[in-house]
Amino acid sequence: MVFNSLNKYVTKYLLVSISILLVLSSCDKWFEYSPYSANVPVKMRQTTTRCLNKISEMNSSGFPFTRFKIAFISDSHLNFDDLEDAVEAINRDEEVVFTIHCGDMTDGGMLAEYMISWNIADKLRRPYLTVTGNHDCLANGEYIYQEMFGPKDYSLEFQQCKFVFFTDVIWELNNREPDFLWLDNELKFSTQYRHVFVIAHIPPWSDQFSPLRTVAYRMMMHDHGVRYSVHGHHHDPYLGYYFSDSIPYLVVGSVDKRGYYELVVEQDSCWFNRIQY
Amino acid sequence: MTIKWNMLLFAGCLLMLSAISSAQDTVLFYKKPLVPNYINTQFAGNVGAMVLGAGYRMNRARTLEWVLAYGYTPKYEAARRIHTISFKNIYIPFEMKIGSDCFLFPVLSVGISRQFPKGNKIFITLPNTYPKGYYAPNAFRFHLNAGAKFRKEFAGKRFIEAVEFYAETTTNDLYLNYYLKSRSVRLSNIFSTALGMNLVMYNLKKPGIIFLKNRN
Repeated sequence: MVFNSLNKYVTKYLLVSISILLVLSSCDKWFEYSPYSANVPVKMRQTTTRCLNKISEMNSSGFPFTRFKIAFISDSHLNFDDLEDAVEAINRDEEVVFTIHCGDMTDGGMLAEYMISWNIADKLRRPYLTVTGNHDCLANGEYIYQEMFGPKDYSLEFQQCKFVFFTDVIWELNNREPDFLWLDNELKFSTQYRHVFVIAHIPPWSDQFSPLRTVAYRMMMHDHGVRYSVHGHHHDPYLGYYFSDSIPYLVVGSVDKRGYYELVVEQDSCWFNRIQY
Repeated sequence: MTIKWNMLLFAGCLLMLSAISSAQDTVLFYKKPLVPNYINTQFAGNVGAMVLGAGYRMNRARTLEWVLAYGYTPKYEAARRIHTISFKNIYIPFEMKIGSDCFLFPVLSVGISRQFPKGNKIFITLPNTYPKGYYAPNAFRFHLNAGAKFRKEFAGKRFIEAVEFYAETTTNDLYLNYYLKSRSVRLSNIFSTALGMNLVMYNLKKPGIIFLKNRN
């Protein structure tokens, strides 16, 4: 009788304790204080700075100009599977020297989203650069972006081409004006370069740009002879002369449209190809 | 995707309903209704680093408990301090006696938490900056917890009638969404642990109930 009841308790006790152990051992991250926290793991910090260093190492090898390709993806939001497929497709192309994500790599600017996207983008065999999107600035996203990737506005010189990464998010950054002065300053000596590209998340004709800002952006592109102005934000891809002036605009489109753009740069010309995967 | 979601929602509703339907027996309080049965303290668990709350036993069978808590996350964890108010609906399917006054039992709970932020980046109603329907509200989070609780009851009438320790594994609606949407997110990525302690001032099922009867 005693043994019987004891046995019943022991089995129940074992069941509960085993389930607790299972539950505890299944956790990847032991304690999480808040989904809104912004404590970026050390290995993920300052990714842009690290990638820029890698690219400048490639650049400084002193070789004469060679044809190269750059892959452009955008607006992955919560479509992590499509992002992964895009990464695989880009990895298959040996000519791609680096990849540019045109913003919106998260949906709500949560740390978990940033970390999932980072882990997927980390599978890229070549370095990658990012620009802030409007969704990336929600919640504590602005802070997380700066911790995880680095500066919001930066530029890169590669093979006598200049790439300017410009944050033009307005509403989500408390209606702060984008740093047009900085952009103008970066584009000042654009004639020294073979090609100049500006990468910004929101296209100048989009909802967040007031007419004045649109005119300012257009004039800047026109005055400095920018080769292409590359954007994200809209999920449908678009390539054309939007304002019927001399500057072609590219909207990369979201990854769930199952395609990415590659920029092919040659001695004195460059063009975009759309690759479906 | 939507089918999975609907099933989850349905399961959540069932969990709550089953707890409520078993709470039909008459509740004789030997305390004032607003006075909590226990003080709840918790570490981590997606509702704050340090959590302090008030717990209420909702029925005599001790199968349904409500906890209203405040959570604080310090500045070094986030860009700025995070204040969280959370409400937790706890269901206890059975209790197991493992000693003269010790109990061990599983706990299942669903919760909702609200973050109190600064600026226009976390909101319930969309700030005027954005056009209508530009973003979904992102200040509320729904939580799903499961774990085990251990209770040690103290004999005799004293201020603290029992102490409870518990460990829970928790997740929330966002993380479940990532799990459902992405093949690279594994189950182990979306769960984290919470540890807690309850100081029970009013442990039901004890002769304290007679106190009220004498009064009447």
